Amino acid sequence: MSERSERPERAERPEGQEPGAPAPRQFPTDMLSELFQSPLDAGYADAARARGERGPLPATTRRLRRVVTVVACLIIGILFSVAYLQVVERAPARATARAGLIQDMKQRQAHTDDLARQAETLQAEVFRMREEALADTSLGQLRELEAATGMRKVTGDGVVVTLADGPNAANERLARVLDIDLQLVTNALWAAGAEAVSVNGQRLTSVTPIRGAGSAIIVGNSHVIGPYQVAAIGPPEMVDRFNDSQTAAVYRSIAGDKQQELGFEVDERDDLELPAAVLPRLQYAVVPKPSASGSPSPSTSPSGGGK
Amino acid sequence: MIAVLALIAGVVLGVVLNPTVPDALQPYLPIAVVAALDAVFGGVRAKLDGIFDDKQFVISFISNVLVAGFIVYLGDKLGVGSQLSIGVVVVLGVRIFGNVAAIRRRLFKA
Repeated sequence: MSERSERPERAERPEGQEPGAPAPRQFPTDMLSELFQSPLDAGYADAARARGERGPLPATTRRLRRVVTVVACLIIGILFSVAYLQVVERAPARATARAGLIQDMKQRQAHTDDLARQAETLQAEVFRMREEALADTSLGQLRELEAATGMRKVTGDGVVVTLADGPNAANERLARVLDIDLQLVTNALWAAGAEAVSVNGQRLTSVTPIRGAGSAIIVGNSHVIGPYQVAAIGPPEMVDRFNDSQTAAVYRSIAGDKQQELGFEVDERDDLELPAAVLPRLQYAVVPKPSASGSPSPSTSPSGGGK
Repeated sequence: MIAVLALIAGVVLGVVLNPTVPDALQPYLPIAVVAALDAVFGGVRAKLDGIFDDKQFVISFISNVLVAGFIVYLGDKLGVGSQLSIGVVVVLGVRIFGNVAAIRRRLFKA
């Protein structure tokens, strides 16, 4: 009570205070300094003074008020723990949502892998059954055609061209391998006489797109990530032809460029094995039926999904 | 003393019961806690000063919580909710610090 006695009397009473303690109403000039100097509710001092003037309250009233205080303390305690529990509860909710999403993602990925494996075994079965059914001559022809179109797994000697992002690919767009880089390299390989080409294990057919989607590169239906390995099977002279090509020269100079420093390597490899491509959805051109209006248009409309 | 026991009992009760707070009241919970802390430290200081008053304590607690909640509610409606909550926390924080300083002086004479 020592500090409070030095302070001027105030009648700025908080609500719920006993009436009958009139004092001149003063307002502190500086609200902030007042706030810092007297954190205690003036009401306690006023109540104490009133008690001193009026004498102690009846015992029953005092007991009742004590009970109310205890209840208030109980409520404050509940408030503290509830607020704490709220904060604790909300954090795991976020974490569990995240974990759920990750698990979902992994499940789907595993499912996709399963389906791909299933498709592979089924395709192998189809090949086997067809080989049983077909005569030898047409079988050889078919095999050649399939190897050329990417429908059949092929093995042989060839070359692996590795393209990799430069060291500062995160900041420098030019230091990243783009879809056009893969397109140029694969085209150069085809031009050098490649018979089969794959990018990161994705076999290319005549209709397999290599395209950029945002910062990702998509080959066929699946996206590939660096370092990109373009494998090609072809005649022995393919390597030299590719190395002499303008594309290879361009990429060698880019690899030496300080700003880009793309990784570019050409390796000759024996016994490369390129997987079969996923069978593309075949599209057939059909002659439209002459319509009732009698204007048969020769244009063909691709009908997707027809097999 | 009995008030301290009641406080502890309240904490235990809150943990045991773990009541669900309606979503509408959730933003006001932290502010209510700060306001309650202010009332508690004010009460402790008054107790140490020998002028504790039950009625004063209960009313300061209720009005603190209600006013703090109302200010934040008003701020939310006016689009300055977070700023006003900061204001409430600063003012109550200053009061809490002042009261704790007084308690410290009284208990440790320092």
